[in-house]
Amino acid sequence: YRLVYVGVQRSIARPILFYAHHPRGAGKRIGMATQLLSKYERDYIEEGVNQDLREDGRNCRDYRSFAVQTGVVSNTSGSARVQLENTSAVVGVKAELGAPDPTQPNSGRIEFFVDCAALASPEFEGRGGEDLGHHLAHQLAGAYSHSSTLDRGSLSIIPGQQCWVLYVDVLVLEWGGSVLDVLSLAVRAALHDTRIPRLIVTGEGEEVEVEVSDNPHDSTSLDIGRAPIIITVTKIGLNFVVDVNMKEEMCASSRLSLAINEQGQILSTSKDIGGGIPYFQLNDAIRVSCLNNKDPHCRPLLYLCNAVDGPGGFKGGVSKTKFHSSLSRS
Amino acid sequence: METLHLVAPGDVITTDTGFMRGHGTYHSDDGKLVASVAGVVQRINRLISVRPLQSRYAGEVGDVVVGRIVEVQQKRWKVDTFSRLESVLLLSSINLPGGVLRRRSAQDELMMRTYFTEGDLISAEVQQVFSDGSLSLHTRSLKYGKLKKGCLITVPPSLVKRCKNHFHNMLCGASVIIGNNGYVWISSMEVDQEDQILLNPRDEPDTTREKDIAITREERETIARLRNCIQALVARKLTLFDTSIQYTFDASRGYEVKELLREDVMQEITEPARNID
Repeated sequence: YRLVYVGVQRSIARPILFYAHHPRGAGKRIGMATQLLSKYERDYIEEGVNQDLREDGRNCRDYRSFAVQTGVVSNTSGSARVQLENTSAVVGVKAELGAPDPTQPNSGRIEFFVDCAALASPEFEGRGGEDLGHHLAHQLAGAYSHSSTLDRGSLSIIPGQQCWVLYVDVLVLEWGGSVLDVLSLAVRAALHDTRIPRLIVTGEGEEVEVEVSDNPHDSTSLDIGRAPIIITVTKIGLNFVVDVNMKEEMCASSRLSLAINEQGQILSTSKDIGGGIPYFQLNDAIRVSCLNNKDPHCRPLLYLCNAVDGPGGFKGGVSKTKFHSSLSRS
Repeated sequence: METLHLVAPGDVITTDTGFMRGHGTYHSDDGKLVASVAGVVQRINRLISVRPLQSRYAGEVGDVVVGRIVEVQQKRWKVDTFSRLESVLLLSSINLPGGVLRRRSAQDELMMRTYFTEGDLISAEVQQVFSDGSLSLHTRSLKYGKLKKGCLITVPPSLVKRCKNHFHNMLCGASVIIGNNGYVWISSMEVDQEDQILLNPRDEPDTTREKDIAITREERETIARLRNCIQALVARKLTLFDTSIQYTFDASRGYEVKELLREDVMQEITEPARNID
């Protein structure tokens, strides 16, 4: 596997100041290890965000350094692992034959499953992480729901009867803030690493036979040029920040997750945590995450996209030495 | 310097049956002495034990700790100090506002939450260690008490060097409290000096922000830089004390604060601290 380190990017410090009254959200926070903070620590963090100087010196738009590895799980069609300080996840993609969706007979399918490992947080013990896993899988599926994200037509084998189904399994190993961002990054890297074996279709009508090629290197890759990345923008105090750690997440009043592709289009959104975002602040929330086309080094999104399929990036991967002719899910 | 015998869980320490097993070891089925934790083997006569590399904080009398109040009970608070059991802070062990010396009344008991509430950070000293290993803390000196605006970092307790003084006013203008339990508190210097009695007077409950302690941008940058320096020392597994932090801070002056989060930079700035102990 190739290991790429992505450093903390520089950004223009442009704090966005608003004088509107902001409610301190008290809604249910999904999946946060209960961490107490004193009111003085909260004030310190909020004032830091207002001055665009966070606890570790980052600006509101800076991501922490993270590392992406592909080809980490051997018996998958593609896999990736992302580590961002104390958040990490492993994703495995398995391509299997299945029936297409009856409403879209000429397309393949992609299905997501997220497992929050018990070692990530005490509240995931037993079945505690199930609800959160469903929620995260739902958000990932929403991000990839539009047909433009993946060329599903290329996944079709026999229209209406057989197609490739991509089962994307995500394992959250550590929970340290910015989890959805890390998951979407890992999913994109794993899809980049995925190799779909070439098929030989013989016969016609009733007597159609599908043969999977025995040569492990005889495979095609997926085009993820339009696959999105989810960037979570969190409102702390008066400003919006990206990539919060656990302490900052406790001070957040609301949170917006945007699935954005490299072309700058927002494919899906979701909002978390009880506090409200005044409508006139929405533009600025989005701006923190993805605009400013002129300076690519300032755009977290483009930076992340390039990290995943950067120059000479992950095309090598680990050559999978064994090819499973039985495409079961075990 | 003698070589250390490092073991991982499951490693066989010895096959000699004449040894008594101490902490961190167990007898496997075929009579071998096996380590159950990752650490250094220590042999005292016929007793073999393994001292773990990382473990929870085990307190001694006189240690300075930084803790977080997790519970308010009758006549005492429960404090989280990263030990195996929560520590105890008795109502009779705190300084009442005004510095008065008097018996704690029923009124005081009802006002406990105005003194310390859940989530508050305090600096305290270990007064007593109970037989089960839990600690009893006290804040009966002016230098201890509630901690206000600043930044808390958690480091492994084994990296904190035992010193005479744990309250450091760094040359850069910030103050650092290195708790023996691994909780390190960084704040600006003014806050510590002027506000020694950090409890509110009885007739003003703790619901209003009395004086908003303002932290300037320079102070905030210094605190952030110190925080990153300490994280760098922890990442290199170097002992934490005022000199090592000062050396690392000086070496970091050439970089921007957020650049100190990079691994290569962390390696470079902790070089001067490697040679001192």
